[in-house]
Amino acid sequence: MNTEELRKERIQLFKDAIQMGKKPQRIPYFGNIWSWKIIDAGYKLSEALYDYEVTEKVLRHVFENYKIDVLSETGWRNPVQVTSVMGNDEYIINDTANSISIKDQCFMEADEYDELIDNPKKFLWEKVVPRKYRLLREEENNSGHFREFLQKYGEFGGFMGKVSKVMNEEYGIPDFADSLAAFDYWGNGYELLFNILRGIKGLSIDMRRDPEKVSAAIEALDETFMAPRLERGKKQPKGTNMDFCVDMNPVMLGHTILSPKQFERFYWPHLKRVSDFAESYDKVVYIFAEGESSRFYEFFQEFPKGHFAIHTEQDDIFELKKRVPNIAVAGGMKSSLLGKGTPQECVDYAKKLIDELGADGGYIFSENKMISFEQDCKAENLKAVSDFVSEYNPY
Amino acid sequence: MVDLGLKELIQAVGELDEEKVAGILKEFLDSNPIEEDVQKVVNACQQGMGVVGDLFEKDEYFVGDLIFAGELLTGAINTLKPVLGSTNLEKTGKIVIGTVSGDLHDIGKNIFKTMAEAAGFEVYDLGVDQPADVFVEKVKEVKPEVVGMSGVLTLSIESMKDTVDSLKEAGLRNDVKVIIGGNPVNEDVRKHVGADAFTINAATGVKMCQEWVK
Repeated sequence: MNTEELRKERIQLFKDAIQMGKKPQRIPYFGNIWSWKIIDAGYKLSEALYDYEVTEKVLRHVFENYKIDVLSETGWRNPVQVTSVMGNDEYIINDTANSISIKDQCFMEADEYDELIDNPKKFLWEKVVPRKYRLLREEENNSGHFREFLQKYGEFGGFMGKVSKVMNEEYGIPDFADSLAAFDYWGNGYELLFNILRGIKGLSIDMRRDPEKVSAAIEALDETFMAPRLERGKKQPKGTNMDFCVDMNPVMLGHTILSPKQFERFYWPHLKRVSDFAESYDKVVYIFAEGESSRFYEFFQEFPKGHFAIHTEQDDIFELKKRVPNIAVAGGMKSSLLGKGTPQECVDYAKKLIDELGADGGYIFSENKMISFEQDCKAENLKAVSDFVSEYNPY
Repeated sequence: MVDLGLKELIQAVGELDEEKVAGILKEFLDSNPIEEDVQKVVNACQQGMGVVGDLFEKDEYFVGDLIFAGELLTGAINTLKPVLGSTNLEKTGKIVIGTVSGDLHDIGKNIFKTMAEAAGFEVYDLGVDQPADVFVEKVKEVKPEVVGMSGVLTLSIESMKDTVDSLKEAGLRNDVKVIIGGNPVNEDVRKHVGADAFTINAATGVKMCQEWVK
């Protein structure tokens, strides 16, 4: 099989797993592997993050050593070279502890909701961007910094294009989702408030003190950022795009602080729109849901069958599968086991996951947590597990 | 201050009814309270936090509610500051807390700190990303009954273990109770780290500390 055939086969594995119409040839493996791979490839985090050639070597190291079908992070997650030229020092890279952290940042005050609601784009450009990027606040050489940013952004885009080509053509690894239709948190008003504008603390307080304003802000942000993406999606041919594993890959991060009642008010309307779109236009959606989500299963049960996969970080995945049978589930391979167990223990657990969750095909194998730090995984365990999953046929 | 008012206050804090709490406290301050009553009001706020913790345990409150509870409690204590300054509140014990090495998350730690202070603990907050030796030095200096370690990232587990090991090496482990809190903690992690208790619920964590210093 040549790499193009392999790429197509892998895409088909994901489609089959999520659409649940026919069983896939085998269980697909979504490599939920983040900054860990840099250390595994023998580099310091700063060496890779500030040098695209090193990042490319890291990615090749993953594809050559571990038989995964797709990789969650291909160099896009921490674009430090781009953001640092504008003076955002949000990333803290510690090469001794091999850790990367992102400072919690919030760029909007509680009394600025009206301004945001009135014109989200204006607010982001005039208030948020200068607050986030220190050098853009300076009067002198403001445009110089912005030009440098555009240059770095161009280089970053060029690198991402190269990565895609290398993955596709040399290793038969597909791109996971269409970046043009990506539903990261920029496509979700609530997540924008949670992750960038008000932060976990500010938003928790705002939802109790002024829920009307929070609702209005979410609606305004969704109209500004989500609606155009859906419109773009509607202009694409109906049916899932066979060039990518999934059509959309939203992340759920901020639901972790919500009660079911708050979820219904602040989060579900957004997901319902995604759900209706996926059903009407026959699209395939993969949601990474951080934390534990079992209190929202009644909502997930409303997703149309054969369109959604949920990658859970901390749920009991067997319970998720049982209680929400209309969706495919992803994840389950415990990072605690990969980090501390033996290869045999890891393979035994991988087999249990596939046998119990993959019986009807609606399962995508993956690590439960984002594999980020040295102790999250041992190389020999990942090797043993990926060898096993690539060869094991449960049907 | 009458008992009925205290019950109302406990209930209002438990229900996270910020306006009602503010109203009750304002009325209390206007009454030129005596020291004994100030202590009663602080205890009522603390009991209200106990209610919040119980509702979190019962899955009626969630993380956002705990965050709001911390904010409400901070507001209540700030409101009481004019009378707290002249009051010699009962001190329950000492706690050294911090987010461990490699981790910058501080929201959980800060909620715990607010609640522990309201419960009468003297809290020494080391801040975030604190290596084991900083915990050890502070423990030597202030001789707390409890050490609290917080973390959200999986790497924090090893940092917590390093800190407990360092306390052992310094011969301090038997002098303190160790509690860990945060997203990745559970019973397995507690055993691995060598802590005495774990919690993902700040209010419950404070209750455990209260039991230890009784």
